[in-house]
Amino acid sequence: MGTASFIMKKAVVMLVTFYVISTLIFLIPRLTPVDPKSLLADNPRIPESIRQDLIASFGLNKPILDQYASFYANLFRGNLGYSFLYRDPVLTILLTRLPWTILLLGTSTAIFITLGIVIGVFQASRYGSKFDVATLVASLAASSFPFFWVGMIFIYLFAFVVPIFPTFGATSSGLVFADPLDLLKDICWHLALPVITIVIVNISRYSFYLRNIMVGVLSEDYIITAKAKGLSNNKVLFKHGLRNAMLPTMTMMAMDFGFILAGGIFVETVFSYPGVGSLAYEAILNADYPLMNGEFILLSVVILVANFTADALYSVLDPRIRKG
Amino acid sequence: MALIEIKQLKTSYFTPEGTVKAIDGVSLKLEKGHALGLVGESGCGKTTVALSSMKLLPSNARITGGDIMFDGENLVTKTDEEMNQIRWKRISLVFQGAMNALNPVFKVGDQIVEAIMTHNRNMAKSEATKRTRELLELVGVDSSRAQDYPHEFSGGMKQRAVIAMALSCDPDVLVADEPTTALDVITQGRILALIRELQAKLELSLIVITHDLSLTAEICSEIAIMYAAKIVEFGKTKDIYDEPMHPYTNALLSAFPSILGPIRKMETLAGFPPDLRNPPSGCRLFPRCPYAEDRCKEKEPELEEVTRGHFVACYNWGQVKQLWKKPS
Amino acid sequence: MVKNQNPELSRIQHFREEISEFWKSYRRSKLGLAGLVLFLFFVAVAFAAPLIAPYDPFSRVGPPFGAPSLSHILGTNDAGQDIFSELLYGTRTSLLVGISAALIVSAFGTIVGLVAGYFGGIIENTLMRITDIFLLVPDLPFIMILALYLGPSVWNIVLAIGILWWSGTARVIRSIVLTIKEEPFIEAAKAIGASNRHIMLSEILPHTIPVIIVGVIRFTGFGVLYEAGLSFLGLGDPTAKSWGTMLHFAQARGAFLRGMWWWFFPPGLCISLTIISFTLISFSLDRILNPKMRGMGRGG
Repeated sequence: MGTASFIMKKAVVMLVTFYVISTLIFLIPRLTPVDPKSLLADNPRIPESIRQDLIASFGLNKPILDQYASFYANLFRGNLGYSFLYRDPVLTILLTRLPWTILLLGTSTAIFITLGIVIGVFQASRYGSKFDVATLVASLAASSFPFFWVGMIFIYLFAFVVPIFPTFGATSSGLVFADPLDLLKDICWHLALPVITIVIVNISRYSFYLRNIMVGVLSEDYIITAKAKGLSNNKVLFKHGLRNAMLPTMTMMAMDFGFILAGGIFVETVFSYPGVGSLAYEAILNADYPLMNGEFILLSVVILVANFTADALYSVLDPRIRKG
Repeated sequence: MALIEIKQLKTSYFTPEGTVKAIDGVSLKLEKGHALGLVGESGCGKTTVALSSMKLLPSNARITGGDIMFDGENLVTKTDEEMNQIRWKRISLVFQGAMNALNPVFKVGDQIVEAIMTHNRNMAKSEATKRTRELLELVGVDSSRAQDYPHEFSGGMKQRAVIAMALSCDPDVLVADEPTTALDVITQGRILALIRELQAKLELSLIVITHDLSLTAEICSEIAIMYAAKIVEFGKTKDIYDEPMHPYTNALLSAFPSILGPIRKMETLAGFPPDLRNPPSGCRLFPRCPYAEDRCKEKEPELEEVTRGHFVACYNWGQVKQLWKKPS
Repeated sequence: MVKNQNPELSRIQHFREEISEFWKSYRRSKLGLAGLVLFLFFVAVAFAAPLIAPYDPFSRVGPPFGAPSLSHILGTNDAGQDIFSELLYGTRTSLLVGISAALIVSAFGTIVGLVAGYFGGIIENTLMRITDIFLLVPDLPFIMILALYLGPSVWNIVLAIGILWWSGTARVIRSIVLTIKEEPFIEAAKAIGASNRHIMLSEILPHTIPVIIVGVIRFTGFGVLYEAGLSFLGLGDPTAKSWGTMLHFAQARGAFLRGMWWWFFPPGLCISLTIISFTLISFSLDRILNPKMRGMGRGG
């Protein structure tokens, strides 16, 4: 089959899914008994000129098919509507806050994947031992903790009991940093608790997948052959074992992007971290429909891109697909 | 001195359902340049013998007694690091179902190069690659296929590649576990011919593990018959075939219809091998043996040398020997 | 062996034997037993809540933001309601939502998977494409949007979860059906003229039951988790008592700024323990019933 056609097939699936999702977002406000105008444009907080603009560009007074066309025309132009809450174009707000979310989720994911791999590999190599069972139970327990609850506990501990880490925001508000290094430190300091929260809950899911797959891999003949060749234990585990376990684990991980994202939303909300996750919370709290719609489209795109990247990576790494 | 001498080896698997005594006092001898066949049905412990000899047992299994003497040294007491010096370089292994012995995510050639470089740290990669190609040609695989992945090889080619890999460090002993089982009949013949050729060319000592007695007739100089974790008969191939002395061996040989000779009713033994978690105290073949007597049930017969080079563990070996009708 | 005249009777007997065999293996798993005990504990609490709770959780029975005391073991919330009683009643809502969602997801997913796997062809392709799409939709944002437009209510949460998560089950069930479809006994059933419906329900469905059961248990756990999460975000019914709404008010009314750990720690602990129990049970069940299956995708 080859990598190229595999990737193209996946790309088509992604595009179709995006189309379905965006159509859903188009339909939902128009299926409610309420007039879509009031959901999307009529709000006392919006300046009249902009309101007229919105009605015109989205065709809110026209028949539904015209609105459909306008919707997509606007989508590709980057016009996602106007936020009631922030009095700014939705896209602008999203783009301002997206980098923070990427920072948070990117850092956390990198950490919990690495730790998860190490833990999973060692659990598998000591399958059934006390170490394995103990860490397994601990990690199964940790994966059952709700993100926001762990966050709340940390906030309590570090805002109330022992104030070491800051408990809200991405940077200390009101401070100007002359030295970029100080800014970096400040950011990291603010990232610490949210990252730890996400890592604690997610690490076990990943190590659990990996452990189970590794156990299967380690019972394969080529592992015994590798050991028979005189390779050191670490080489057998990581070079031969892990390499084979990574591929199916990645597939399972890809199905988890939704969960990681959900975790991001909860953690950002609890820590008042200014990313797109907490934005969703604010939008709902304030019934800011355009913002929530735009948010949903953005998050869907993020998930689709993440899935697509995972699939593409997989096809490159698995020689069975690469060479057909 | 024999190249490999296994003395009263015992290995057990520790499972939640009980401890399985997979090998319970096995003794074998392999002379240099000879080929020893280890024959028995599935579950009798023969693969465990192979894994034990290279200390490749899974984490829930352990050697619980006995010695494995290799070239004068006892392998049982060696550490894992010390074994890594011996593995592949002096004893190597070809697996049952070579399909899975090759790692699917690495190129075939690279896996052979890895074996070579592990034991020849100062060798340049280019030289190892050259040697890999030579090895592949030696076993009859086109050397350009070294660039391919295992899933691009046919079953027979994979088996050859695995043999090439096993020979890559010039081992003294090659242990082949069911080398032809997963292959079609024609390929089987080819692989057998290959093994014979290599044995002659490289002066290789072989241990061939199989359930197929006829395989051993083609390659082996000595045969050991294994049943329920014990060796029941051991001797030169010709002796085993001409004068089998254990009822089990008798049954194995009788299970083959012969094209030549008179039409004979096939005789098989009723029943099943004993549960190795709780082996009986007397002879393990007792419930199924047509020659069984009371003394067989009370005390297990020892493996004894009854004629020169021919060992058997049965009280009634004389009877068996007499009653054996060799197909002409 | 007794010769059985009545095939139905032997089926029941066979079934009974399988159950006792199964229970024997399950008993061996310490983790599985622990999970079961924990689960039964919470079910008991859910049923017995009106009997055990010292107060009506909806009534104002004490001062707001009260600390734990003899009359209020876990203190009182911002509206002067007894937190311990809230906790007990919350068990009902959380478990109810979890189980309902899990049942809907499993029922719908199984039907789709059965149909897709059995009929194959265009039906299968179409259904699987739809499944693929649903699998890609990010769950929490979608559930949030639905809740936003449909209004805050417990049943909207169940609906929203149900709409998304059936896809994972459908996938798994379909793959099982595909492997069974080729078996000789299916062909035999077709040969004697059994209707499609009969084959799907009587011959194929029983083989999928172990997987379905594991799925129901896992999804119940996630259902409880998501209910808590959505209620926490303010999307649940604020008038209902659930662990999630307790945490929502705890955060919104500043519990941790007042150091009221007795308000937010217990509900979260209950959520965690409930989910742990489901995870342990499904983990042990999975090991016994499906040595080859590895995870069911959607739902985390």
